[in-house]
Amino acid sequence: MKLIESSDFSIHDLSRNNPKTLDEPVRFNMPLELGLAMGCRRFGGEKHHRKKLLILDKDVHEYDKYIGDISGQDIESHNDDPQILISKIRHWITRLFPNREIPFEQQIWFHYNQSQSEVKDTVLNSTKAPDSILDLEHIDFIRFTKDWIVALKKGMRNFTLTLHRRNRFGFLRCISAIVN
Amino acid sequence: MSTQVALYTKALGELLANGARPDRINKIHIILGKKDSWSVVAQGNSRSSRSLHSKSEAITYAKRLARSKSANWVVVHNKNGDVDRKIEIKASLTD
Repeated sequence: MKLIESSDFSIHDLSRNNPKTLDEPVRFNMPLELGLAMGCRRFGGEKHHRKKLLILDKDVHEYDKYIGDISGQDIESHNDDPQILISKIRHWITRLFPNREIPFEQQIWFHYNQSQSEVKDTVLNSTKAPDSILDLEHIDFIRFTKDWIVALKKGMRNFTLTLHRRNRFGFLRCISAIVN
Repeated sequence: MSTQVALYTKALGELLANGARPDRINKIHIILGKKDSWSVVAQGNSRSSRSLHSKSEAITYAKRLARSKSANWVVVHNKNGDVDRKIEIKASLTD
């Protein structure tokens, strides 16, 4: 709840309500969080009035079946395809921050794949680790991925500087790769 | 049912972050690209070295690239971005 209160932007993927197994109950965390975010925006006063929400589901009008009152919001579908998901979220962020340079979808997708591999090799091989990335605590996944992204950016900067010392052409080529 | 265990440590995060460094290429990734092509991407890179029509072509090229860059692994991803399999590259072996 604190997270919803303090966030100016939130993404709510409603496609994961279904239980993983037949024994599990239907999960309502995401719709509940969406309701809280919408309520916060509607009744939370000036402070929360500008909250931006992106609602995602697997199919375009899947949400109509269980929540009819969210039409009029930013609602997108991803068809359970991570590349479409990246594209939709990137597009939403681009609309929110038209003057900011956001990496291309393909770059994000390549980096996502690479970070998955590192999490699998490093984290899942450690003691106490679960069998699957899906069983990692959400906060763990975020912290590991954040470390990976920070190192990627830092590594690219160092790599650029090393190339700069070697030759100017390499430097320009590397800058071009980062910018593009 | 699986049990979740909080296991983040700074040391483990740093170990993981080594895999993001483009100056120490240890892995060549094969990732689904545009229009169902397969892209060969060196560790820490944002761009593909080459895109090929089939996964097997991409694996052959990735093995060659791995040897030229002294990388130890070719990592083959599935369409969801998960790791499908890893191929160890040994300098003495041929394709």
